[in-house]
Amino acid sequence: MRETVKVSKIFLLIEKFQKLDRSLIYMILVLGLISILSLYSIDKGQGTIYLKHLLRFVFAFIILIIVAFTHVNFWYRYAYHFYFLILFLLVVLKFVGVTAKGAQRWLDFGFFHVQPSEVAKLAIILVLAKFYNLVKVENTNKIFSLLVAAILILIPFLLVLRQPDLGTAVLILGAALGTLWIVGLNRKIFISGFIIVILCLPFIFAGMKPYQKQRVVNFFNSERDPLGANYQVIQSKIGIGSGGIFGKGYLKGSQSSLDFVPENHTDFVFSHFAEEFGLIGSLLLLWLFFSIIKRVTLIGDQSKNSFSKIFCYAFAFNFFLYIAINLGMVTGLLPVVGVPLPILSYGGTAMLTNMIGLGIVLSSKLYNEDFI
Amino acid sequence: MKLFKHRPEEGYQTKTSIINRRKAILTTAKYTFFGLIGLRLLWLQVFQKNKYSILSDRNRFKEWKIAAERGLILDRFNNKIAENRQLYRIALIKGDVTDLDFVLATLNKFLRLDNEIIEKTRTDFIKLRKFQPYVINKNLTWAEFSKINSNLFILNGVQPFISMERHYNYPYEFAHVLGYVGVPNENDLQNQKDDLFRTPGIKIGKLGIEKILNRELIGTPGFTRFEVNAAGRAVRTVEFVDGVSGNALKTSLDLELQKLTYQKLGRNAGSAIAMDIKTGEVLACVSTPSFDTNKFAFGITQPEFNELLKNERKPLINKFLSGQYSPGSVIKPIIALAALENKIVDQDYTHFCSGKIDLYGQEFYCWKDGGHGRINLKDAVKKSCDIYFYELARLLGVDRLAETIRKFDFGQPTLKDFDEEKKGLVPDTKWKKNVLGKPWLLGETLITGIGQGYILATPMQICKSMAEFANGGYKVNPTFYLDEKSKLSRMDFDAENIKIIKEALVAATNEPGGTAYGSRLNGNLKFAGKTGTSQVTKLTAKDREDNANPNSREYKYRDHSLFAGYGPVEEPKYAVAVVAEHSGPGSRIAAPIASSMFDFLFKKRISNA
Repeated sequence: MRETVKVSKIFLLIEKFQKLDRSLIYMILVLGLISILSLYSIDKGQGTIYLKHLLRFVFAFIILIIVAFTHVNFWYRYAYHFYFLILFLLVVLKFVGVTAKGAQRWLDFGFFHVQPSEVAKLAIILVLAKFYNLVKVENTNKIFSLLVAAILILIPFLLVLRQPDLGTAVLILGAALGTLWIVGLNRKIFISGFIIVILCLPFIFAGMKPYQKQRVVNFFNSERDPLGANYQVIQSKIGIGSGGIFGKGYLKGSQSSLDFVPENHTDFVFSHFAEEFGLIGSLLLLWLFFSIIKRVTLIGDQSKNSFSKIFCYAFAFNFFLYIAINLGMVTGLLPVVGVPLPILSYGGTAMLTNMIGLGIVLSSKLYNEDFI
Repeated sequence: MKLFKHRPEEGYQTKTSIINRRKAILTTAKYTFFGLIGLRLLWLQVFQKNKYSILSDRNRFKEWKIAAERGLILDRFNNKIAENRQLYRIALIKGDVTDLDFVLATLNKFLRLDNEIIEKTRTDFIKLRKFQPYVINKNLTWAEFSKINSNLFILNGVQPFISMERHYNYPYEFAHVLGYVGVPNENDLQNQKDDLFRTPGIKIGKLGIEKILNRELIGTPGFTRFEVNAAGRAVRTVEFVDGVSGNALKTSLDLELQKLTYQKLGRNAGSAIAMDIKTGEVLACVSTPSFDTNKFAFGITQPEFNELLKNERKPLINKFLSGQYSPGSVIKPIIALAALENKIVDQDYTHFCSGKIDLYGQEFYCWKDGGHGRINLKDAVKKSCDIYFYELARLLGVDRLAETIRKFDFGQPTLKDFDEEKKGLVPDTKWKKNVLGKPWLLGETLITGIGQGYILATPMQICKSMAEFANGGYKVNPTFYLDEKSKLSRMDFDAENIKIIKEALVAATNEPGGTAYGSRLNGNLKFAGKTGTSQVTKLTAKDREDNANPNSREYKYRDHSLFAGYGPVEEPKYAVAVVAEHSGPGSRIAAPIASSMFDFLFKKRISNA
């Protein structure tokens, strides 16, 4: 009898394995490969950053597979716990966080650093997905539910903003707003909220840190101060532009390798990629990102429960937001806010968060016949 | 395990439809934004590619040019007259210098630098870009250089190096003809289209042949192209291109003769030229007093330069090209030729010289008190009789006179490329009317006949005209180079007339009573020539009495002493012109100098050949 259960479990596993969304996994692997090759090229094969990134990617990929085979119900059940754990970490960060570049962002766990604000993006999606899964559709726009949602969003947002980390805070807000939009929050609320934000802009600006103000000012004054704060965007544009249609060729990019582009391993990694692979490579990468988003959306479509649907759509939107803000920033369309490019940029927590998120999406696919 | 927490209810179905609708709107937004990014990439990578490529390379590459070794300048026998010497110098590399004060103090201990240099280094150093080398303006001795080298471990950012710098082996002798090199100034940089002159440490020709043939001499700078990182530090050498040293230039000059000429001119202010009468090759050309071109090459100090500027003997003026003098009696062979060519007189025509003539109440004197008596053309040239030439000039009229003088290219530059060369002046009635707005006077014709008055000539023009007599009436184009093929073209003079003048010139030097007889050479080879004494001011009666002692007059009013001649008489090869400013009669100063030049040429260049 025990034997049969075991055998049937193995069959079940094989069945699940066959149901795994292979194309999404392949796309993730290709993205991982591109990212390691890019980091290798930036340092011209020297240094250990690409090796570290490779290890992180392998580790995160294993987590992704584990998450993928975990029933999506697990995430549904523990969404609130997860959320409060992150809030707790964000508060703890205030006291024991590692200060880097003027902001307390990292928690030191000895052999690795964790950036709770990155994980907060995932937590906010999960908690909102669970909340709106419970709220009946006719109550979506009621004051009570709005109030709860607002509190759920604002606590992590403000905590991150105070670190200070504008980029991540904006992304948390963006991810949350995306989720609210998906669950059907009244458009009027969005519009009036938008108007209020516009009206509050001067106050927000006044409350900014000097370097944040500088970035905003620079964005509206582009190329006026090439050696000052606009330096990074100009150098990034030089890198991208000089790549041309076909690129300079692998290992032949100079802008990032010679350190003209700052943050070349992290936020501005795309600049190096575009320099070496040109318009063709950039568009292919863009297409790859877009395919991942489409795939995630498709998995949402195939899900039969609202939680999975909301999560997949919200995660897809969040993923999109990362890419859009990052590419907008490195190509000079948007002001510089520290937003990494998913999976491509060097950075452990962001990689892990994205992979867990993608794992939940894969899990949603595996268990899409199930109701929560 | 209970997998299903909720059964689907009706409300949830509507929720799904809401979610699907909202998702569709988001998807549209995503498409739009991705499209936007795509367009942005298209713009940057296709339409602005060139702009960004240039910017990228400008970021990436830095070139450090290295000036090439300047071409040697040789005399006609391959003696080096301008070469390059190794100089020991030191540079400071900004960014590697950790403590400028300490470095300067230490260098000062080894080199005893001037305060001026230290201050200049300090101020210039601040303006430098990172990793840009700065060359300290001091030449080190070998001992100092090795001392610095063995103490490099305490001198962070000090870079000793050896550079090649111009050196003139005979700075005074060749100053005016070779010129000198110097650091390009703002003006030079602006006139230059390419960035050759911006090569660090380059020196360019500022005067003379160094300036005229600068392009040939300067060579092609080598360069090292570095890939630099954002901090400006060279990451690797991309390319190293050797410079090509400038071509060696062989001139027509004769070092030994030049040295001798400079020595013979001695303390006189003036110039002397020796020329090959067939090719126009200039063998020697000296202008005195001279200056040290090596000082100019390294940057002369302001007080030294002011000294040169103030000197009344004008050391900076190239007297053989820019000195304009009344030719005096040196013009007489040409006046005689003009008379013969125009068939006004023949060689047997005689005229009586009483020492002075009256012309409408104005008196014109011969240089010889009491006159020469009845005299023919040959003797008039030989003895330089003024009265005879007044008469020839009167018979010819100034316009016919000027026409013949112009055939010898007086009144125009003899060389193409020396900016400092003056044209001289050949006056005639038209010129006076146009320029001075006055009619020509007969008296002016008379004094033009003895090379006084408005007429002006440069020593080079005088030498050239003598060469043209010597070779029997063929055009000569003076040159400082050997490679130019000079084609001989006849001037339209009767060869017989030229011969008559040459005989007269031979007599003037080699027969008793000739004005240059005292300077004649007694060997097998002889030279012929004409003296000249060019008045700077009109002589007063008292001056005439004092004539025996011209040095009694103030320097700037004394006569110029001239001589122009050729030799050897039988088979002419060389023409020589000498002008010694404010030094007295041609026979006393200029002719002996020319004589020693001929002596050298005959003994060292003809006998040995």
